[in-house]
Amino acid sequence: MHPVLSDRRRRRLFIFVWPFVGAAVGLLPFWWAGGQLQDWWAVALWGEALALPVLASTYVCKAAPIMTSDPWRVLATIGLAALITAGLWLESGRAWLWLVSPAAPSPYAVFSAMTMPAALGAALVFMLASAANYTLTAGDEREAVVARVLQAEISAREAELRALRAQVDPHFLFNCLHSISSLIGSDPAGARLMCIELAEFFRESVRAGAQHRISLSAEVDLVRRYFAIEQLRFGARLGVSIELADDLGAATVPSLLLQPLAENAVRHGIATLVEGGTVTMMVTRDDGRISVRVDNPYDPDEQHHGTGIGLKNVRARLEATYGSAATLRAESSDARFTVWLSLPADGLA
Amino acid sequence: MTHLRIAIVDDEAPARQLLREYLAAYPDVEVVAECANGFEAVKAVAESRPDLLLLDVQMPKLNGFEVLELVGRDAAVIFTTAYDEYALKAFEVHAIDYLLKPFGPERLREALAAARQRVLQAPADVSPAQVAADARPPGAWITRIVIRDGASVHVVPLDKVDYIEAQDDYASVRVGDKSLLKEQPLGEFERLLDPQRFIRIHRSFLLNLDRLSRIELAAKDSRVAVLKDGRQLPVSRSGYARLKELL
Repeated sequence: MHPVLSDRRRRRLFIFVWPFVGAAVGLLPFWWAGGQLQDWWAVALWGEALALPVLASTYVCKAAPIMTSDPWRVLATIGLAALITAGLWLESGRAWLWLVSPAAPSPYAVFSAMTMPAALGAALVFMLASAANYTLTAGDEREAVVARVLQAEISAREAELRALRAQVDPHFLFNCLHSISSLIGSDPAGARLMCIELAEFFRESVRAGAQHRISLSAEVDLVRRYFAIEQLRFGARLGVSIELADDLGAATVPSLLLQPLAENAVRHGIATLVEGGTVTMMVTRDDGRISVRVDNPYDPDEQHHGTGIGLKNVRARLEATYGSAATLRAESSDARFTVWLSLPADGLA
Repeated sequence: MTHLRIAIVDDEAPARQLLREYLAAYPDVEVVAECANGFEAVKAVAESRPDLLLLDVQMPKLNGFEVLELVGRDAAVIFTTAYDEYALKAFEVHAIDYLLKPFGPERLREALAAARQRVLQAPADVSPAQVAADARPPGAWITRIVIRDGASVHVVPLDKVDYIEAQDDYASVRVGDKSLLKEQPLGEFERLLDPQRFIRIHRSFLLNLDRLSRIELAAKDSRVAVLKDGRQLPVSRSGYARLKELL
């Protein structure tokens, strides 16, 4: 991509400004050398021809990128290119003016007197063009970087939204509806209770999902509600024990951070056991940080399907929010699966 | 109408309750067993001889497909599930009926009508193991082998299996010095097992690669695999090529 030719506004600017610069590069040394008005247009035209190497200077600049090359190398490359440009331009000028008219009082007659300032002017213009090139390219690159960063941010946000939407497992909803349908016949009051619990759970998770962060107590309430519904389905198979340290309730956490852990514990833990078991969630304050432990029994013989996705989501969200300031550790041993979370206690006085 | 004996298999009590309620409307249907997991289901099939299982897919210990694999020849099966893409495709391919939770009594009526047809007819010629195999997502190899022994079930983790030997339509699963017989051709096993772990070294043998100690030349052009416990198994020419590729 040419920094001038590929951009409409810069191209237009160049077309308007260059004719004056080109004419000046030719005519100024011409008049300095005492040239007459006769055939001055040939000298101006010769100056205009310098547009070619000026535009081509971008390729020289590309060969020695200013950010990555040795400064001497940049200087040497540009200087050499300027010299060659000036030399070639002078020689082509000599030939051209001779062609127009070799006899005095033509411009050709004063040519030798004007070579020095002309060469200097051409080299200077070339070097200025190179400098402009470097400036424009750096600006373009910065813009590209900014665009890339913005794009990445947008994708990350989209991924987060997708993850959020996917977080509440559709099987969960289908199974709940099936349970409600069953309870309607045998236990209408229970069916009503489950409808209300389910509605509350979804209302709260939608509300939480719309917010970036929620209070830890709200998040733990959501988890409680989730367990309450699952207990209606699993009956005595699912035991739940939740503890939240009193002084942590007001701390803020990314919304729906703990709910996937609860869902994992039921789906890949309790649901794999004939006799079921108890899920424990302990949220404590540890050295000014929030420490979460979720612990559940599971069947080690079970062929696990889909495990790790919920955990991966939680890890990614921690990473996005806290960087290296939060940690997640998971361990399975002795038919128990345990997840430890440690994150900064934001929002506490 | 024939009298239909049904076993309900679901690990969630409300789901079992619902089926009981729906089925109460049919005077010619008898619920002979209610099972909360796969083991109970296999036991119920052996003891109560139901014509039809209403079988949940996601269950602890033994899932719906494993139950189908074990008792699919003795009873017709209607699956009940909250949705699983691959499973549904397998059911459709093999014309096994399934009920998507939540379902109503009308949908159950249709499924029962179809099941009656199937119970009256001879059993389908597609093997239950085949259906179970088709219901798994591609690349998801089995991690255990389930073998029925009367009313009880052996669940054998793959790392306990030394090799599997073909015996006509059966396969003998070798675990230490025990052999467990399962009605499943060796070729079907081969499709279900991770080909990086279990190698068809011979027409009649699938070997757990972990057990291999070395390969010896027995005679000109014939090789044997020597296992870590000293046992020897024949290796065919194509089996040798497969081994060489992996080692």
